[in-house]
Amino acid sequence: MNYYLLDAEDLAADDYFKEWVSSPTPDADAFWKTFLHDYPERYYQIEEARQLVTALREIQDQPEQTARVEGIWKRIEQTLEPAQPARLIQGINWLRGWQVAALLLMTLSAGWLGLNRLKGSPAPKDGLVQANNDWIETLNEASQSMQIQLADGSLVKLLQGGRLRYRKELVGPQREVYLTGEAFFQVRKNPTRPFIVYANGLVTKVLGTSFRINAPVNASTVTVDVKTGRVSVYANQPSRVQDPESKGMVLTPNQKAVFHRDAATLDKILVDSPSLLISRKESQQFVFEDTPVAQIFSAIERAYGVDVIFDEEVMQHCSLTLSLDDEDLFQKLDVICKVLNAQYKLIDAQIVIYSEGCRKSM
Amino acid sequence: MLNPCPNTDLWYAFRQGDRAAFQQIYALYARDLLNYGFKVTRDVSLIEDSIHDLFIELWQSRANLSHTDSIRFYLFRSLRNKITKTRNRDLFFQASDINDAPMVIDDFIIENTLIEGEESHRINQLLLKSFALLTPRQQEALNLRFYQHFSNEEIAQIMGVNYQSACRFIYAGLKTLREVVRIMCIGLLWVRLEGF
Repeated sequence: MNYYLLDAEDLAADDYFKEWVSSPTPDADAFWKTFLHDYPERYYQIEEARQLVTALREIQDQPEQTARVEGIWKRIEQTLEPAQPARLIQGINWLRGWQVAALLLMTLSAGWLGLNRLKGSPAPKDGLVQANNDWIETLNEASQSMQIQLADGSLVKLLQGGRLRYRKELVGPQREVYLTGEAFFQVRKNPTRPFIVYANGLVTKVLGTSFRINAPVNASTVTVDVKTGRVSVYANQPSRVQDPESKGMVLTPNQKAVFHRDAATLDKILVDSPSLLISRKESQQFVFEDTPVAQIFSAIERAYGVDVIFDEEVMQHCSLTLSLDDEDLFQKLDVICKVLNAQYKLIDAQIVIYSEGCRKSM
Repeated sequence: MLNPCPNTDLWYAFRQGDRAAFQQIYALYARDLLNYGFKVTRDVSLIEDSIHDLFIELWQSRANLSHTDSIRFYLFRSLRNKITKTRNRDLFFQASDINDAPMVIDDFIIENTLIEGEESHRINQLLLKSFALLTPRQQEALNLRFYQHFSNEEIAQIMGVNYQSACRFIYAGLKTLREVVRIMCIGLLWVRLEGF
C-alpha cells in the first residue's frame, strides 16, 4: 500500500491505519513515525484521518444504556420461563405465568382466526410470532385428506380444513404440534420424548400410538379417539401447584375423550364404532356354543379393550351361543341383550349390563 | 482488542445449555447491539423487541449452532434483518424512502456529554452534527466500521448490500466528514487570529 498517495478519507478507511489509531502497537507506531519522518508533507492528511477515526468512535458512543440492557434481559428471562406452551406465543412476551396460559387458551379458543388477525396488525410486535422460522404451518385446503410425515417419522393424516403447526426438526425434549380441525396421528414410539398435541385447549400426550383428534375451529368440543396404545389427555391449564396431567385421563384403544371447551371438562366414552383389537384369526376362535355369559363378556373385554360390568351372581345361569367375528360391538350387545332379556348402558366408556338373571337350564 | 473474539469456553458452555453463559454472552453484546440498533432505526421499542427475539431464538437454536460461528457477526446481521423485516411491514415506513427519512438528532447531541472548550471536542461536536446529516446508510456503515470494528466484507453482509456499496457508504461518509474537519480547522485558525 502506497500511503503517500492517500487522502485523509482513504487513510481513515484503511484497516491498518484504523487499527493503529484505535489500538496502537509498537510496530504500527514505528511504521507511522517512519512514514511521517520520510514524508513530513503528509502530516495534515495523517492528522485529519486520525481525528476522523477517533471522533467517529467517540461520537458513536450512546448515552448510558444500562437500564435498557437490563430491561431487555428481564424480558428474555420471562420468555424463557419453563411454561412450555408459551413458546408458541413467545412474541407476546410481556405476559407470564397464568396470563400466558389464559392467553393461549383464549387464542386457541378463538381459533386461528384470532392469531391471524394479530399477524395482520401493523404493530411491530406481531412480527415476532412469524419470526419463529422453524415452525411450519400446514393448512389442508384440498378436498382430500393430506399425509404429513414429521421429522421423527410420525405420520399425520390431516383432514380437509385441518391446520397443523409443527417444528421442522421437532427439536426439544418433547415433540409438540398444534392442531385445529381433524387429524389422525400415527406416532413413532419414543419413550424419552413424549409427543404432544395442543388442540383448542386440550392437550393429548402420547409416547407412541395412533389416535384421531377432531378439533374444529368453532366447535364447543374436542374429541380424541384412540386406536392403539395409551393416550393421556388433559385440559391446557398450566399450573404451578399441580401437574395439569394429573387432572386428565388416560385413554386406551376404542376409548374416546370429549373435551368441553366452555367448562374445560373431560368425558370418557367409547368410540362410535369400536374395532376389534385382536387379529382376525384370533377372533375366529371366538365362537361360543352354550357358553356362560361371564366367559363371553371376558372375551368381549379382550377383543374390544372395554370393561363389561355385570352381576356375576345374578347372571350365573345365563349362557349363549355366539360368534364374535365381524359384527360391530354395539350390534353384538343388542343381540346379547335381546336373547337374555337384558339392557346395557355405556357409562364412562364401560358397558354396564342390567339383567334379572336367567332360569337355571335343565 | 478490536474484535472481541467469542470466548470459546463461554460459547461451548452456552451451546451445552448453560444459562449463566447465555447471560454472559448477552451482557457482552447487548450494549453494542443497542447502539447499532439506533443506527438502523429510531424506534426504541422495535430495537428492544428485536434484541429480545434475537436472544430467544439464539437460546432455542443453540443445539444447531456450530463452534466456529462468529457470534458477534451473527448477532449484528440477525438484528438488522429483524428490524428491517418488521419495519418493511410497517405502512409508515413503506410510505417514504428510508434514506430520506429525517433523523432526530437533538437528543443525540444533548445526551452526548462532551467537555466544552477543548479544540478536539469542538471538532467532535461539529462532526457529530455533520454526522447526523449523512444518509442513514452512511451512518450505519460508519458505525459498523469505526465503532463496532467490522471489516468491509462483514459490513456488506450485515447490511445486506454488495461489497462495493458498503465501501461506497463508508468512503462517501468519510469524505463529507473530512471536509468538515478541514473547514473547522481553518475556522479555528480564523477565530484565533481574530482574537489578536
